[in-house]
Amino acid sequence: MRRPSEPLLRAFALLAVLAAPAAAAAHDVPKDRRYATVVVSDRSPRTASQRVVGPAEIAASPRRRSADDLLRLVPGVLLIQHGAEGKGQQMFMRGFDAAHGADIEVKVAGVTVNELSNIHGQGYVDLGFVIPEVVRRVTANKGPFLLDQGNFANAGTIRFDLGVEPEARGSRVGYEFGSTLRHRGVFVHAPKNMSKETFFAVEAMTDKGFAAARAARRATFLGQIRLLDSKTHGALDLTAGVYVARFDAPGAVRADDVASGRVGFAGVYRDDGGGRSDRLFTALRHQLDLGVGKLEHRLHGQLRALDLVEDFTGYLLDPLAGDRRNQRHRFASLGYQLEYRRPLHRTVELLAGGAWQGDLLRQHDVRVDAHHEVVTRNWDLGAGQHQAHARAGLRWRPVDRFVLEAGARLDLVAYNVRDLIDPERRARKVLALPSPRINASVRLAPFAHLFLAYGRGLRAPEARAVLGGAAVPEDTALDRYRGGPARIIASDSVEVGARFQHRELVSAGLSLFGTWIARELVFDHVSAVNIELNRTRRLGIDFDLAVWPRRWLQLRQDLSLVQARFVDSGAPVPLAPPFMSATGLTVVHPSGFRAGARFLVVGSRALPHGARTSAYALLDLSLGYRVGPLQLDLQIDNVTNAGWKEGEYHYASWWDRSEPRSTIPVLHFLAGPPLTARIGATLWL
Amino acid sequence: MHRPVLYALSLMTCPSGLTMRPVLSALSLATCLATACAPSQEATRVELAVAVDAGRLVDAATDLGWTIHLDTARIAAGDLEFTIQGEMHALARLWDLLVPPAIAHPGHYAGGDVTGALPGSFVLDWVAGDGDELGRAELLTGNYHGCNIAFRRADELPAADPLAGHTAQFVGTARKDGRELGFTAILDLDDSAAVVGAPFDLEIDEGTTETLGLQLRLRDDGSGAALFDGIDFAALDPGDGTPVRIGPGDPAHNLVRRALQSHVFYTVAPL
Repeated sequence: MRRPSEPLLRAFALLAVLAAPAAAAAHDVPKDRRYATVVVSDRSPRTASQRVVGPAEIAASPRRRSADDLLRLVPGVLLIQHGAEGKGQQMFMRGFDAAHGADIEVKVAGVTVNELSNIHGQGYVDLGFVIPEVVRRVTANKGPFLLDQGNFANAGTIRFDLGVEPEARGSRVGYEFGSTLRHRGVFVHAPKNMSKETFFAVEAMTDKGFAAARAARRATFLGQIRLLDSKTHGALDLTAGVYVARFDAPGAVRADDVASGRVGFAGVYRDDGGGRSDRLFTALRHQLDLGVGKLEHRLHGQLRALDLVEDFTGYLLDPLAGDRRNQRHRFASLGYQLEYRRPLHRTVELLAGGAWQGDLLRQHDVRVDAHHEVVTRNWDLGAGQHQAHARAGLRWRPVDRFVLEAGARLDLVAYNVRDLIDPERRARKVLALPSPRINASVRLAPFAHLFLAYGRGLRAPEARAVLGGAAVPEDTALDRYRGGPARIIASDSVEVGARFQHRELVSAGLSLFGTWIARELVFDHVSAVNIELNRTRRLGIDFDLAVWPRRWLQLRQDLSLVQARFVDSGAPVPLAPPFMSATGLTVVHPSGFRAGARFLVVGSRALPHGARTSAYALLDLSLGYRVGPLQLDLQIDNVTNAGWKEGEYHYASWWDRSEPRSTIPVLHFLAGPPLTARIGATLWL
Repeated sequence: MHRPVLYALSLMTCPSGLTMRPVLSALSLATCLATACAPSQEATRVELAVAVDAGRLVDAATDLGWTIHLDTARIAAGDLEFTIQGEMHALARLWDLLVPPAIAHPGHYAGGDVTGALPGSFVLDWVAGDGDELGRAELLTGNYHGCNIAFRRADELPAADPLAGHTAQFVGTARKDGRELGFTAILDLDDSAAVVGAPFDLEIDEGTTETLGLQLRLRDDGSGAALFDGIDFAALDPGDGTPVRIGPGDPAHNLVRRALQSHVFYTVAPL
């Protein structure tokens, strides 16, 4: 791997040099069309590790190809794309390998988008339908400490608020061209005379990718409109989106094959992998001020389709037809949420809420041949599933400097699963788990707070697990590890931390956390099964520092250290990153100049069987300048052109049938993108 | 040379005089870490010899009271695989053993993975070939708990060999109440058949050099099961002085064939 230190430093210096004259040159762009500040002053964080990413930082951030990329702005979040853009990313946070979202709850416009029982991965998150230009704010709450954090929030919850801030309202049309033959067009209409919640956005993108089998296409419509804004009847917001995407799936290559020159660093064995992802999304939110309380409720629904063909193992399982696996997932869901809060006393506030979501799903998992004809059927299920919860708690503020929030929630999941391969197999199951949550903050000094928090997180089982224990068809022995008995996985987490915020100059947070899981469950997305494991614990430190020397300039340092281990053996939890550092710079100058830089360092991660991934460092940059109605942007990913391995795994495969078949695991990896650049022009109408 | 650059950066971006030392320190730390990027690291592997070991092949009684003595015990085997339990929970492992056949899967994470193998085609001969080395297995270091043995047909043997085209051959005597009957058993198993989870408890590290002995036993003291359980040799005796013959198609063949796939009759242990 290259040593990037000197180029990185030169790049930082260049950025600073560019920033200085820009500061002196004010333009005649109307001030209502510019971000006035990059400062995100979160004066009432509920936990030490809460992080809010504001619109200016989002607008200037580097590597913002899609909403997925905005997750990278959350400290301690690592994303790995082992398909092409459009496939859900593998996510990591706080020592969890959350796979495609199994341990990180993600909400968009208040609706949880983790997909319970997705055939490709429990809690699968696909944010492709979210157009980055209309993300107003990203809020991360690490750990399961708040009452409204639900299923999948073992590592935390990340919320995407949609809207367009006043500074960016109006109509704009943008086009982006990238060095990977990427074309992206976007149109955003956010009427200036309407609230920040209202917008309409359309996006179309096609990208050949940086190497073979990395192409992606998508088209998206996303709109939100405030239908009603009345003091008596409240506010009513309608959100709707349509999303279609097609993408490749390169699979991983063996490290020994790359070393011998049999396949290139960014090569593939087969180029017929890929998939499609479609979504229809709608939500209707009603907020009402009752005078003595506030009510918010939301009705939401989705239609969803996901198809995938992937192959990670070559001919290991089937020496003739090969190991291509086709997964198909369809679901329709309808849900309702209710949140109510009202003061009970001068110092006590009631927090209550509940939600229900019902899904109808159909999914299959089959092995297919080179023509994608079915060879063996592993799974073919139809299921109905319900998720519901009720929560209640109190917020007690006896004195100005102390706040205690305590309560509990009861989560229920119910399944009715039908095996379509063997119609005799049917199963129903209802599971419940109570989860206490408590967090407290003490103001130690005018700008310093101490936080304490405890919470129980949960992850519901997937529908397939409900059928566990029944015989499986011959030659589908791989699917025996389906997770054992269906049950809700519970985690217990604590966090102690402090946050210091000095006006709009500096914000710093330090939190120590621990998470314990009595019986770990890891999803293996190659074989598409959960594996039940021994108990684990995760201990770590999160540190973040933001400095705003000027209102238009932010310097940021995030640091995450986690020790994730199995308690009895002391062995590390595979794939969880023990060390991450992100150093960032954001400039959003009133003159129209904006820039972002992010220097990410990811430490070596443990793989199964004693293998380890490489460590790597990446520098991403973005520059932008606005002259009148025209805005020009340049994004450069991987500025130093580091040859890095985005995903690394340790498992057995057999690609060259002239060699003896071996079932011994070896290193595999997927190359990360090399230096890529995108230039864009946006015309503000 | 990077500190002056960083200092210059701080001067340019921080004219208010607010201290930049924490940011500088963090940048320096990150840069240092970046320059120390570690490469990927493959798991440590060792090669260990695997040999046939007749140490556990002693006479044993069946559930019907016949004491079995073997003069020939040969099995045509394919790949041998060695598995670790990893962090798979004990209950999951138990369930796994109760519901054979199971094989470890090639996933991103795989407790119970196959992490060692001796590929090839072998004729395991526990009598004439006791001590014969089968080859050198490649194993990742780790805590091993199981061995899988694939069965095959011995198609490569000359036609005159009784095992040719078959999977297993047992020749011996069965004694009961002073009566002794010779027997010959020729067994056929499907190519996909395998023993899964034969006990193999050994912590293997870089310094391990022992030869791994593949053992066969006629009776498992733990479960009380015997390889020839259910076979009433007296009932099969042709009565003409020739040995009892057990072959494909016989009910007795199916009994022994099923028992042969049970992991309890095999063990892998260092010699």
